[in-house]
Amino acid sequence: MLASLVSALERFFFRHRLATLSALAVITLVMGVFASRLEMSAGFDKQLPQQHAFIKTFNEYRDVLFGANRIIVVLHAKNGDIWNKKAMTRLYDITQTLFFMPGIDRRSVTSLWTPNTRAVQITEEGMKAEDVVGGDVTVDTLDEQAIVGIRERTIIGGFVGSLVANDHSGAMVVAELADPDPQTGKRLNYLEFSQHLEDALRAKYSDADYDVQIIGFAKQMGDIGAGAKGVVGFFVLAFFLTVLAVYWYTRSWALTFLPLFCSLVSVVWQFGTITLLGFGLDPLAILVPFLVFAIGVSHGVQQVNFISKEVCAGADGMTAARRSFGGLFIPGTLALITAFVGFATLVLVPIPMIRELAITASVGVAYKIVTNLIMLPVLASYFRFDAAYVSRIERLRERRDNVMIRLGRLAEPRQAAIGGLFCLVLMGVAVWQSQGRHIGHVLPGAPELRADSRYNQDVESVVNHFSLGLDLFTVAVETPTGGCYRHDVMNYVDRLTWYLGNVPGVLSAQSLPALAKLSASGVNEGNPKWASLPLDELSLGEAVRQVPEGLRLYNADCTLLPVNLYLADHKASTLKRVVQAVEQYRASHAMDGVNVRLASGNAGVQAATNEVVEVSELPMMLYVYLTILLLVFLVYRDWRAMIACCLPLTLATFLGYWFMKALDIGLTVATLPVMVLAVGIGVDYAFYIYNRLQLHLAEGIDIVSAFKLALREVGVATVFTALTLSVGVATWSFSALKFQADMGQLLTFMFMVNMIMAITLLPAIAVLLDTLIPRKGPVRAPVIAH
Amino acid sequence: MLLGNRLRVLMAALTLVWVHGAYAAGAVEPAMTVAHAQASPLVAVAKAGTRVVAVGDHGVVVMSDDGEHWRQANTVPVDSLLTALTFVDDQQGWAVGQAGVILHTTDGGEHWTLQQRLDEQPGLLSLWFENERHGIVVGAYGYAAQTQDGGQSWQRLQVGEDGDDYHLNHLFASSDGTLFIAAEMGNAYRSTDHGATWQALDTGATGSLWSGLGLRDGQVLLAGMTGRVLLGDPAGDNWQTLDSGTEEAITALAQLADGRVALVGNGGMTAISDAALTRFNVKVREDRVNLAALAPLNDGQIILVGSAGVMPQ
Repeated sequence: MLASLVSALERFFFRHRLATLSALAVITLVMGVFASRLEMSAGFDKQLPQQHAFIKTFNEYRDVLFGANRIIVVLHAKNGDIWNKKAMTRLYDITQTLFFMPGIDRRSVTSLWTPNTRAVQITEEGMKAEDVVGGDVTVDTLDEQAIVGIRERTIIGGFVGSLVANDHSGAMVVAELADPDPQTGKRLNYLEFSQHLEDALRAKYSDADYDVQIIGFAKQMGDIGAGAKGVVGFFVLAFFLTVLAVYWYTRSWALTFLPLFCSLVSVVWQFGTITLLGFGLDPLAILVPFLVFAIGVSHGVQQVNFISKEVCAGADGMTAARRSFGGLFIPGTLALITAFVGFATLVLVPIPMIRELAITASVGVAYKIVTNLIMLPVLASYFRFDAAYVSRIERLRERRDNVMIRLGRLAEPRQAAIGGLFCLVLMGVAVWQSQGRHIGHVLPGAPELRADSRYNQDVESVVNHFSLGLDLFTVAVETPTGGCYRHDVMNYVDRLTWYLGNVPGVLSAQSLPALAKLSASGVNEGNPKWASLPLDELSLGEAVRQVPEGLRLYNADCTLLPVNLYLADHKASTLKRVVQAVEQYRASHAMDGVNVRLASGNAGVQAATNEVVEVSELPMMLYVYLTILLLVFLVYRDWRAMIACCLPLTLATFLGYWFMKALDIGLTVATLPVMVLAVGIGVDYAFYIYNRLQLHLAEGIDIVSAFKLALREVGVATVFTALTLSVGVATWSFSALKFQADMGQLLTFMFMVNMIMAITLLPAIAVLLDTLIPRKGPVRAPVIAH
Repeated sequence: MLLGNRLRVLMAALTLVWVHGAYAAGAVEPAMTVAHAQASPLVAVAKAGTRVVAVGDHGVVVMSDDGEHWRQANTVPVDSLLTALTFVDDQQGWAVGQAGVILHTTDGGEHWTLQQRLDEQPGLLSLWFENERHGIVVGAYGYAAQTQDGGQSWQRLQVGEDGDDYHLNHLFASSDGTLFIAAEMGNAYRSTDHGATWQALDTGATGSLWSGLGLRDGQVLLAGMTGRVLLGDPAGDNWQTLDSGTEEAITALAQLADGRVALVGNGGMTAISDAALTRFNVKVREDRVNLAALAPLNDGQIILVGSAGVMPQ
């Protein structure tokens, strides 16, 4: 039935080939218009699992909680300290520049030079507060004596470690962003803002003696956006590498550009569709169109291979193209449907960016069925091949055949047994070695950027010189209105703070009651024996009011008392430990009217993403494998095929996990799709090879010879395809963005391993199965015999 | 260290006048066992024989037999701020804290029981035990009480004039057994009858006195805010101001084996006098972390505790 359908399609498209191509040309034109309107759009929120409880907390309180949108600028002296006129003047200039920069909440700007930086001393008369910089000191009157005074008040005021580096080698200007702009209501453009910081601060105030370091969410996003722009270069590079590779393979420019052109057409359709759906191209997902292109090339090469094989056998262009259509429509569709399902299962991950990626990518793959399995052979039917080309390609095929003949020996029972055993052992090792692979991001700093990126170097320097934790995990404690004035509530939060502060991996814990206790001591002449929460509402309220509002440790009506935890790192194990500690505590210490909610802060958000990614992986993998098993069963009606196709794939997947662990690549929003896709694409090789194998078996040839034949027919194309794909994605390893490099390395590895498995382990298993459990009846031909 | 910084950052924002308030505890919950208890905020230290025991916030009690290796007490029934402790021998001791908490140990500080939670839940700041039966506790707003049965029952004592509500910061005995109290706003009190009756002293100071010490020669020292150190005769009738060389608030003082006196205080201040108490050699820690108490060991080492826990000398 399937066979007659394919024949019907073949007749239809090739009889009306001009009409077919014209229709496709019109579609391409229309889609091209839409594709030209495609824009890059980086969305932070899109990367978050919006339905996750932590993210709901994060969204609900993102404008209230601390540090969400802080920008930190550090003036760092390369030699010596900052206690000199030049450095202090420069710090003043940076403070002023930042103050007047659009997008900055001016009230929040804080440095040694701002009036909100005051040193308070407790005396017998009460408290004495003065500006750290000194009331009458200006940049012009700054002399040695004034600087000595500033230094002294900085130390007394406790600003060492916060506004001044612990070793006095740098000073900080901190500001919060006003986003959206309170006047215009417009969101801040982080890319522009980040560039503005570069031009107005870094370029202007850093020189041989001083360095300007800038960190903060806006800068991080800006740097990621800038890095993503470099992606276009990789596209171009990969495209040229592919052109060269395909030409080396076909020795014909026409046959080189045929698969590339067809693949590009489907990318145009894909871009058009993205625009029509109202999506933009996300830097995190920019690999996907490239991947879709590569998949297209890979299937295109199989077509070109088939066509040139037929041409060598004496067929003319039309016949060769028609045979290629008929011969590859089933395995090609199978492969593309698996890739499609692979992409489509990504919809299961409740992260908007991955969902978007799933939709656009699966649409792109679906288009491939038209462009690569129909359009390509129909176009090829117009090609004419001269005798010189035919004889040249024939010689080439012979040379390549020799390699494949040697490889074919792997299918001899003895070799197959050894190979099978080896792979079994390898499987064991891979499963064992891939245990405990990382979830989430592993390295310090901004995980999207490389460790040696300017941003992450700045982060490292700031963390080393200041007492500042950058991995913030916020527990949001919701209380009845006025919770800050209730001793029982405050005491509850104080205990929670103390408990969480002692969880391994937590460097320090900050909360309103913890600071209110210190202010209680402070107003009692600074006596440490008074550092305790006052019972009565009035005194407690007084203590609370001493805690600077800027620390964001309570909201306006005192219904939110966050506990800010600064973590040693953002490894998944650390995050899990903290999450478990909070869950355990709130379960065993329930209090009426008090609701302990997880979680905000960059580490809290990451904990949520980790959870989602980790939970999603297994079901997604299972769906992809199930699809493969189902499709293989439907087409071949043979349980042997199911095993022979899926076992090599499973081994490849576990080798991939091992690779991830060995290279410290964590399972993240970026790498999860890669693993799922690798399975969907990896099975292609198996499909193409098994299809030929089955065909020859049906002809009554024994399994060993059948495999040798299959390998000669599609082996070279398979190896070549994997190499081409690998070379393309391998270029991503040089990306300025770490997640792109991770994806590139992982994909390269997965392409190669899947290919090797398909030409070695697949035949070994097929042969072993037939040897161990001999077939009883004749082998069914695959749906299309040729 | 971090906590000290936080306090100081906080100070930077203090602008309002404080209204004194009463303190009380919430529900009783035992202290948590934590990994590095000796690094948590500590406010007082005492010796049980050769063992050093320190107390602080969150019901933390830590102890060391060599001054180097510290461990947390096995059980402490409260997790609130403990402010002072004392031992009558190497086994038996008491600790007091906010909200009228009185704890008792009979094994050198390993295990503590909640012996009393005084009725008015006064913020207790200091205590003194003459022997295993008789002891006195003092605290906020002029609170004082004594026990004659090892802490089983307590009776209120009158220290100041009626209506006086000065904080009674530190209670100590001089070498001849006279009791002294260092109190708020330059006040000090004396008792020559083991605490039954008290006389106000004229120290001449107006700033708060936080701590005191009976010297081996019978003289008495009082110390407090603004680096104030007062030297008094054994009866406490005449006081002279010593030049401590510091303006930081002095939180505690102790006499070393060689007769010199060591002081610690806020802002990372430590000072050691010469033998004649004429000069103090002041040092300020780089981190300016607040120091709350000290304990000289027999080997010449001095244990310092403060907002960053036990700190190297």
